Amino acid sequence: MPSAKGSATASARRADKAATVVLACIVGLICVALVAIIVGILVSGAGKLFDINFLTAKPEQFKEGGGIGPELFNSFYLLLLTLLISVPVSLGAAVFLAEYAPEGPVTTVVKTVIEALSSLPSIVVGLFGFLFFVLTLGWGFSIMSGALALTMFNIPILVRVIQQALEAVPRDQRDAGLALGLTRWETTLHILVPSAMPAIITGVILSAGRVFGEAAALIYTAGQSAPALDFLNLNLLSTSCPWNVWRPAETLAVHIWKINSEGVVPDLTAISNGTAAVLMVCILLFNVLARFAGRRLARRLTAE
Amino acid sequence: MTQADDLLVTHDVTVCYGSHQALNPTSLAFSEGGVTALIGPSGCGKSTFLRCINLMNREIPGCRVGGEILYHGNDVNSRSQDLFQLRKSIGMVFQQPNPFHKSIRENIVFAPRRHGVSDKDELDALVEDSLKAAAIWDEVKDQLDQSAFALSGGQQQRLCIARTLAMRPDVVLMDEPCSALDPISTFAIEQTIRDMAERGICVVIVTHNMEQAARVSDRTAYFLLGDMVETGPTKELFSRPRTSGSTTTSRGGSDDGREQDGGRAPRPVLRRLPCPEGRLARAWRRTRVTALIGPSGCGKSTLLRCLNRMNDRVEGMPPHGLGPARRRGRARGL
Ligand SMILES: Nc1ncnc2c1ncn2[C@@H]1O[C@H](COP(=O)(O)OP(=O)(O)OP(=O)(O)O)[C@@H](O)[C@H]1O
Ligand SMILES: [Mg+2]
Repeated sequence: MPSAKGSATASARRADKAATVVLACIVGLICVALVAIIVGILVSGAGKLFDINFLTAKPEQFKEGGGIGPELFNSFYLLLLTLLISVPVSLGAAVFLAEYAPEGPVTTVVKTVIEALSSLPSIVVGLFGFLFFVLTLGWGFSIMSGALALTMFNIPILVRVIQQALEAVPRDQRDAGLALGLTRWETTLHILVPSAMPAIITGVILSAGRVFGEAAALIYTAGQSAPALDFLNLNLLSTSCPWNVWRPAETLAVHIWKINSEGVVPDLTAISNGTAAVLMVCILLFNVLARFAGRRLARRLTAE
Repeated sequence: MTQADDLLVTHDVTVCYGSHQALNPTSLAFSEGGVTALIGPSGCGKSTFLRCINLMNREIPGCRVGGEILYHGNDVNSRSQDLFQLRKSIGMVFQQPNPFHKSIRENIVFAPRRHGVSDKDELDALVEDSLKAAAIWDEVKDQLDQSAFALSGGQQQRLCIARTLAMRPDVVLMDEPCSALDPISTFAIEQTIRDMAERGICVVIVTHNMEQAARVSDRTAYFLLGDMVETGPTKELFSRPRTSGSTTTSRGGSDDGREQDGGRAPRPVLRRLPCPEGRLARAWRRTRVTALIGPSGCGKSTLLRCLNRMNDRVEGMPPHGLGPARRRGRARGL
């Protein structure tokens, strides 16, 4: 190799090495911090994490030994409801914005508004939900109010993620579908969405994690009390029926906030640590499972 | 020019992108079973013209079409024309292979199924027929359920042609369909084009390869800077002596051909190399040009990717046979 060229290559190679080292350091630092937090939470809550009684019993008001059974169920139920509402709505909105909306001032404004909404503080969403769902509509502190508040909080993020995933699918896929005489809808549904599925799933998982751990938006909408649940009760209007969407429902994150701010049980530190660990493990498990399912689904849809 | 049996006629078709007129009034006629080649230098509006025929131009914002395009005597831009039916019978093959992210079989049957073919045997027959017609059946018949993205570029393109043929179109528009193919598959595709013409399909093909135009087409239209400057039977157009009137035309055309297909360019030193990769690595020296040739899907790109280590980026692809050389950085010295 000629020497002039060689030295240029050498310096480029050195810069490449340096960049690699710097990037590795940054990632390393972040990983250490994250792992420290996760391990810290898991270790301090380890005692409670495998305690079946803690996971299933209902919380105590004044004595020690309370559990988080209803909160655990409420968290999942709220997440499920929120996703059931927000995923289809966001998918529709994103498909419209990415595929149908004509370029123009209106579309640009809508996109900007969605971006602004996706950074709305969740306490604002919570208070809005309180004023509108809880008071104006008179739903009271209920799962429905909570799920809708979370939906409002979730939709802008999901719309952005899904829209970007759709726009990242190469143009020629769209052309291929249209050139075969398929409608725009068929092309979107059967070609673009499957191609964008891995990115969509990742977006849904990330937003689901946020929803699962959300407290501020729920304090004034789903409420801070967890009535005891009776899984044999199928009367959808009874407060103890788990599936009743009109009952108040405290979630894990709200529970942590509540016992730390106004709890009087003697073992509140242990309970709060345990709850945090359970929350953490749920989110981790949920991530792994959803990613696995997403990959399976993507493979089924694309035969790869 | 227009005859009674013309399937597709364009009258003074113009195209504007915003305020830029990309195509000046163009009138051409295409008949059943005829192959028309559109040739001309890059940017002269061949693809633009092609896209208006099956209305793919509607997908480009700001694209306006003037004039008339008559398909079976009906204006394609009239309100009564069913866009989806039209695109079904006027198929299109793109310059870049663009198979769907689906299995090979799904790539073929997906659109027919959406258009209402549901019988399993019929679909299976369709898969076999179209893949055979596109000269790719033998290569993929054992892997119909694998992803189309595992095919080579040339195979993907032939799959795209098969996918278009599966719609049983009247007209097939091809935008440089062979630019990703090796000579053997190109030949196979040219054969396919002739077969299609024999079965009565009207083929319009954009090509930069003059020899290809001469081989496959019955008529040729020559475009230059947004104008269709010359059209006629291919034989006449190509054999005509360079008179003063057509000097620009023919010179432009052959320049273009020389650039693109290397037909008349000085040929690089071509060496056939034995295939074991260890020996290949040693056979290449500085200051020598080595050409990798071979039929579609034989691993040319794969080998090239190994050499500059782009294969590091391809998931699940070990640097076959180049392991030690790679680590010692020998392959880099090429
Ligand atoms: N989507 C588009 N938007 C705006 N202008 C375009 C668009 N597509 C093509 N043009 C313009 O139209 C003219 C003709 O382009 P066209 O793609 O038809 O050329 P072509 O003959 O197919 O060239 P090539 O041989 O390189 O494919 C060019 O000047 C190009 O800049
Ligand atoms: Mg073109």
